[in-house]
Amino acid sequence: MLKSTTDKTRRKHNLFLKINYVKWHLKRKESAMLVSFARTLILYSIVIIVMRIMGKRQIGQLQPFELAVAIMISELAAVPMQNTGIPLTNGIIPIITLLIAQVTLSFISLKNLKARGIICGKPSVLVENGKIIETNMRNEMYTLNDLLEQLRIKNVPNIADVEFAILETNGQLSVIPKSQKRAVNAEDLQLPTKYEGLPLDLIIDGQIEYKNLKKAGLDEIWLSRELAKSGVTRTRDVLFASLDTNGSLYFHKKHEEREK
Amino acid sequence: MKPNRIMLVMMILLVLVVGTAVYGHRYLNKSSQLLQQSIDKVEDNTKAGRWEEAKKELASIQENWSTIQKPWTILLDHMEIDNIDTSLSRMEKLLETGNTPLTLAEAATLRQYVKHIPDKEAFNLKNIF
Repeated sequence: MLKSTTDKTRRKHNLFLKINYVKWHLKRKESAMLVSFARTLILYSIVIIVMRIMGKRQIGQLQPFELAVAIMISELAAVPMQNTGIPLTNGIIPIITLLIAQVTLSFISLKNLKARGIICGKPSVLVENGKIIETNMRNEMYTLNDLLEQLRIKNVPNIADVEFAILETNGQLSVIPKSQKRAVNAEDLQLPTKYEGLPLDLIIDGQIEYKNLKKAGLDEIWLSRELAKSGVTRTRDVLFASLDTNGSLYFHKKHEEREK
Repeated sequence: MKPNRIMLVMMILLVLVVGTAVYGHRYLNKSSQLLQQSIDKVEDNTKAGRWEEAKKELASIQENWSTIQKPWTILLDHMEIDNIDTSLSRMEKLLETGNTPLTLAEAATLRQYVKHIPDKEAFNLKNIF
């Protein structure tokens, strides 16, 4: 009888220990997850700020050294994000160092033409006056297949139609077709054309862009009057409104597609 | 932002990074030496069989460590901090049991854990390469 009571107490105690162990484990795991969560947010903010400072260029338009920096930064941010054993400073300091180095290089290349040539490289002419420049092709390790592929992408399938093909410093190929082969424009046909400027956004998501309104020499009263002509009484009911260079107002009402 | 202003911000960032690195290393050096001195005292007391004094010295190490630990966590791999923590708890138990050889061995291990940190973080060619 006494033995069974002792066994019961021991089992109860063991169960209590197990529950406590699971609780402790869950708590630890939960806090580790929160640490990862906070670290990710911090590093994400840093990467966003760094990328914004570095400039607005798209991946395809990056200079080779800029692309290398972008890859390195993403890698540096990912490591302390997943490994909480590494101090956050081990990720932040290299990211800041890369930012300083990259901005300094960009600044030097902006101020000095010679340095620009060294840092960014110079464009190479691969086709000049309709002739392939083999030396430049070899120097850039650009094969004929690469050239033909790029020409096809640029809608110039026949190499005989190319006057100039220039390999830019960001790796893109600029193609200038022969004058006989390019599309006809208004000047060729001696057609008079009107000035076409940028349309001004006057309302975005129901909010009036006062800066643009002032730029056009107009005011809110004019805008309300114009909208009232089409039956719109409140500007906040307009999703988007813009004014083109001819002075005509285009607008789109909110939830218009639902009304239809 | 204008390029000149961005460059100015970069220069300030550079000064901050270098300044933090220099200050951080100095702090590591200073705090490591402080801990090493206390470990030496624990070792001497253990050798002389003065267990109570050794325990008091270890308590002062643990107190110092609790303040030093926070900045060290920002600067060092967390594995290093865990190693020191483990070694300290092991030494506490060994001092309680009064085992001289094992306490001395643990003190040597702890000293090594503390001593190698400023060397590992120093700005020199060995660490760069």
